[in-house]
Amino acid sequence: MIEVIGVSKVFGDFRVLDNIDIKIKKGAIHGIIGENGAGKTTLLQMMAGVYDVEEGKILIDGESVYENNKIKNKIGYVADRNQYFKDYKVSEMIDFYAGIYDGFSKEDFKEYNKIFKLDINKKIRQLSKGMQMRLSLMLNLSNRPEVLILDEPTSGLDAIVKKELLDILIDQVYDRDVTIVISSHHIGELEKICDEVTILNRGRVKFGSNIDEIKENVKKLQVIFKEDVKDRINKIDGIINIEKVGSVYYLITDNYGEELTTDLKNLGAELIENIGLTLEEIFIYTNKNIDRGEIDE
Amino acid sequence: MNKSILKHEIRSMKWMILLSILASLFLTIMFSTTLDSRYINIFSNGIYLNEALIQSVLRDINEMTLVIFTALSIIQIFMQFRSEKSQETGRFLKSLPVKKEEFFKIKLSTGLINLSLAFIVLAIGLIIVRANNMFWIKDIHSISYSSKAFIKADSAISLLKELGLIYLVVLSFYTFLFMVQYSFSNVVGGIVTGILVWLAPIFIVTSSMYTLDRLSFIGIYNSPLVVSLLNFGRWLLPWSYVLDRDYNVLPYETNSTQISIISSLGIKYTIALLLILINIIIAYKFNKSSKVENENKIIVFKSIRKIFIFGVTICSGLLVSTILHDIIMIQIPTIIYSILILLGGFIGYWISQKITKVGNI
Repeated sequence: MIEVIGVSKVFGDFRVLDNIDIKIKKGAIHGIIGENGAGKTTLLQMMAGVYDVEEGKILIDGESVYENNKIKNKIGYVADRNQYFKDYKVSEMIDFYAGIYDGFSKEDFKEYNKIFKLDINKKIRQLSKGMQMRLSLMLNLSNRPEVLILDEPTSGLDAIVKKELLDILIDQVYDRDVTIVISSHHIGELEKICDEVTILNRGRVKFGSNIDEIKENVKKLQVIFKEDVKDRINKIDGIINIEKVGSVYYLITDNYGEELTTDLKNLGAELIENIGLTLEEIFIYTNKNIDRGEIDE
Repeated sequence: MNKSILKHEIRSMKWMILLSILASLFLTIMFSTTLDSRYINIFSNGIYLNEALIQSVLRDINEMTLVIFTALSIIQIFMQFRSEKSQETGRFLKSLPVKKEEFFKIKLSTGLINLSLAFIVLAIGLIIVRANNMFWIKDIHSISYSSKAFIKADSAISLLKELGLIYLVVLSFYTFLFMVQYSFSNVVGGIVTGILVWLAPIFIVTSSMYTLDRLSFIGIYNSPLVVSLLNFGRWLLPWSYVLDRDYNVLPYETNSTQISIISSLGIKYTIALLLILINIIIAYKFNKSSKVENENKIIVFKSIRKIFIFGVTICSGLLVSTILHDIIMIQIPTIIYSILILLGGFIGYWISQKITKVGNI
């Protein structure tokens, strides 16, 4: 189990993370979503024990990660950029990992390499960005980690390998009960594999629960009113975006429930229809800097 | 010790080890060649001077040894720190289940072992060369007026003692640069600053003396304080320990002859050892307090930033004074001289402020 409790991170005068609380159950796949600069990478690096946790706590199996070899031995961390020694050959990097991680299996690496197809005699500097990502994934999967932290793992991968990777991740959870924390800009991919997601916005948790719950709260409503409500509709609480096509209003709300329905009816709503939203749409709408006084027509 | 980290350190040092051993062999050959030329010289010119032969050859070799091993220490520091100072690699290493104390221990040990190995090769080489030449050196010693003094000065123990001092001076410089690396995020910046700081104390003492004299605060030629300060100054630069020799003048009928040996070996050994110890302790503390979060800051620690600003300000002012005193050598009124020094100090302060602000968001 991973617990992020009241974590904040400040660089100079810039607060990258602000009072983050996340709980990730063992064997869950947890997605971290956010715009560039939302603090995803910083959060993942803190989970991996790269950055110190000065405010708050990050606990894995009840122990803090920073400078804790016992816990770090259980973690596989795939960074978003190349990080290995550039003058090493892939085979040397395998030996390096084998000497560092107790659970590293060269046999597993060979198996993964049947899918990822990397020439182990090549030097790291000769590998493309995608190839380096493949290497990082293979090395960290071969550690047989209990917690896998993946920062943009699909960037640079082609569609076939991407699909294979997502399948491997699901297998890892199924076979070994691995806990996976993954960030990606491809929200569609996360939606397919994640049990839960956390949406970060400017260093704060905007939403954090399982995808169905988020979808339950954030809704797109198609509403038809008896008369024009242009001046009154933006006074209703819980509406984060308003679009008007002809006489039909499309409302995005992050607080869907009876109260909102009643408010809309009191405003003269004749028809209220619930339209499904994808996770990507939820992310876009909840992260848009919306001026609620304006209606898109 | 973690095998992978040890292998990684040795891997980045393998060329260094080869280079150090080659340097030792080169110095051994130089020692042998110089002794050979003395031997040949005896055949053409005869024995015209009583001298401690090994000592006089060592005098030349010692300087070369110091210069070569100083350069090797600089290259070694560069090789040891260059990869981990890159942001991505630094983060990668930090994510591994290896404590920073482990990295520190392995890095320091491999560095010290490499330099020690090179000195062991050099010591063995010099001892062998000396032994091979003793057949004719002994003859010269035996016909000498003061044989005992020459035999003692040319003994293997004396040779090893002098080499031991150079070894400790080199290690004190190496550990100093090693320590500075933990407070600078840039390898080359750390090396350059380290060398300048290493030289700074002697520069500050000497340049302060004539600056104060010029400003009429202290009469440089008649103040006992100044004389004792200048005397003390020679201890501030360990490099000079090797060059600082005593000349024992021995009577030899109407002529006199002399043996030059490195003076105050005991004190110099003690200071060099203390420096090594202090450097390692500070480096350990720096390493313990270091964080990946500070990778963008040129100077990692706040306290060091303050010392840096203060040091650069003082040295810049004194540099202007040195330029006016030693290079331009023009007569200018004291008031203008003072203003120029203050201006130099201000420029130093301004530049150091800018440098320390890099990376502080």
